[in-house]
Amino acid sequence: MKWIDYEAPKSLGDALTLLAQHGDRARPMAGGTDILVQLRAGARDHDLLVDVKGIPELNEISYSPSNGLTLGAAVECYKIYGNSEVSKAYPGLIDSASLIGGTQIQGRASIGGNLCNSTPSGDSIPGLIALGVTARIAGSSGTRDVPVEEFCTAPGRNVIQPGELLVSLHFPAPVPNSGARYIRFIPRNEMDIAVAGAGVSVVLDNGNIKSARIALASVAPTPLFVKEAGDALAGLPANDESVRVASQIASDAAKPITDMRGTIEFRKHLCEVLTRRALHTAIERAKESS
Amino acid sequence: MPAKTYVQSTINGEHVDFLCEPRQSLLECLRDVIGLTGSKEGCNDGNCGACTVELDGRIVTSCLVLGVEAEGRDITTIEGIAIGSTLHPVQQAYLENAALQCGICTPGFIVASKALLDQNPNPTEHEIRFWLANNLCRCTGYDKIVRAVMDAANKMQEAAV
Amino acid sequence: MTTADYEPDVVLSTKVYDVIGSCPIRPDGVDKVTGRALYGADYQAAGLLHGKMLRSPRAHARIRSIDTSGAEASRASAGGSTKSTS
Repeated sequence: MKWIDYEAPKSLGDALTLLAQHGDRARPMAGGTDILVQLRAGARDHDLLVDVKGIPELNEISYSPSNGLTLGAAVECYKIYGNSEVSKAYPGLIDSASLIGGTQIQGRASIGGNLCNSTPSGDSIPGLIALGVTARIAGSSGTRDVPVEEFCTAPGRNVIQPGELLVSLHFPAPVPNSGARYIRFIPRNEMDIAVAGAGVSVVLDNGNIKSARIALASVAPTPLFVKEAGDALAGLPANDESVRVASQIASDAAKPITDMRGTIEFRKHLCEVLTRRALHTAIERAKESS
Repeated sequence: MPAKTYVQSTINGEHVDFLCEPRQSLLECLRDVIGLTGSKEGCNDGNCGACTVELDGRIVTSCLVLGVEAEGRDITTIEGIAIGSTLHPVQQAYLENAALQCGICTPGFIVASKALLDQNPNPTEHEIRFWLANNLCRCTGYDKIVRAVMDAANKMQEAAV
Repeated sequence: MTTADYEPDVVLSTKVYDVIGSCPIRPDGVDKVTGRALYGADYQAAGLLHGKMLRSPRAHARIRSIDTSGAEASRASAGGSTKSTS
């Protein structure tokens, strides 16, 4: 790696000052499991790493059944699945946190970092979209909230401007009879980058699906929110036939490319299968919750 | 010329201080600056686990931790696994179960295995395989490694009774 | 002996062997499980020359020329080869 400076501000204000000062020559670093690899490969180029792990707001995990979850951008995956309240309230989030990388990576990597890395294959992102999560971004002029489905703009790029920092993610309070699930297809059993992934959430009402949200990984330049697939489920009975309708819409909406991980045809097929399986589990979870 | 950073940390129970550039990984500091060459470099990008160390009680790939981040932290490397001159039950189990051949992955596997048993003294085979997913071995085919961890778990439980 | 002739659990010998049937600990095992074993990359001494591979950015490409001026200008370079192998 070429020379890089390192700062570890202990307050959000100090971090924002540094980021404003250095613009896009600075890069925030949480777990470092993406940025260090990219810097070494020359895929990204910066002069200053701003280590944000010492900032209290980025380490927050606060949950209440009425307010939902505020998850600091730097909170490590192991802390998320190690938190029994959060695990119970957001199993869909735990799906993602427990499969990013492996044990050692989960000791450092964060959901906020996974979102900011903004790859089409980001394993946390479809689940965040499905759960209706918003991203709180701070800058010198204040904070703004962005729904996660609008966060990523292109492979590796997102709405964060130079001088801004992702502070936290806000998960709506879980509603009764709701369930969420993220699953992906990879060649091995663990560690790989998703060939395709599906993150879904459903809310049930008396045996019918009241509402649903479906998002896909690795089949578009950004994680893909397939609004029409979720909307199609509204009012339908929570059964196989409805699930198949939605998973076909999801597959049709996918715009994958053929690359070393998979072909267009394979990925479109995977979208249908993964969405279907994810919906089945989400429906089961919704029935178990109340 | 930009200045190096002075870092103080606890490594294998001892106070260690060193100088490093911010761009140097903890792995590089352990191996090249401090001289603890037990942790190995396999991929340098967090995929192989050969560089695994414990950082404040959690296993991490030290290639993706910066040396400057060791400031004030508690680190355990392979060199700190044996208890004095007595091998840790995990190390003994790896030897008795022939869970190593070339041995380059072994330090990372042993640190990771010991961390698993510290947290979960009675893991299932499935739990062992998924806990160790971030460690790669080209020689053994993993089977003897998994057996070694189960053997170590049994021996440690018997000793604890 | 063909598969058809196979009889399981036949005792071929009742002798006690020194090596066959034993489970020795491999001689380099203790050094390897403690991290004491020195591999090539672990060896440190003063005045070592460090080489680094420069890999082609394109697979299966035809090498038209190699610009070695940077390497030659480097203070550390000492008689490095610019020949491609294979």
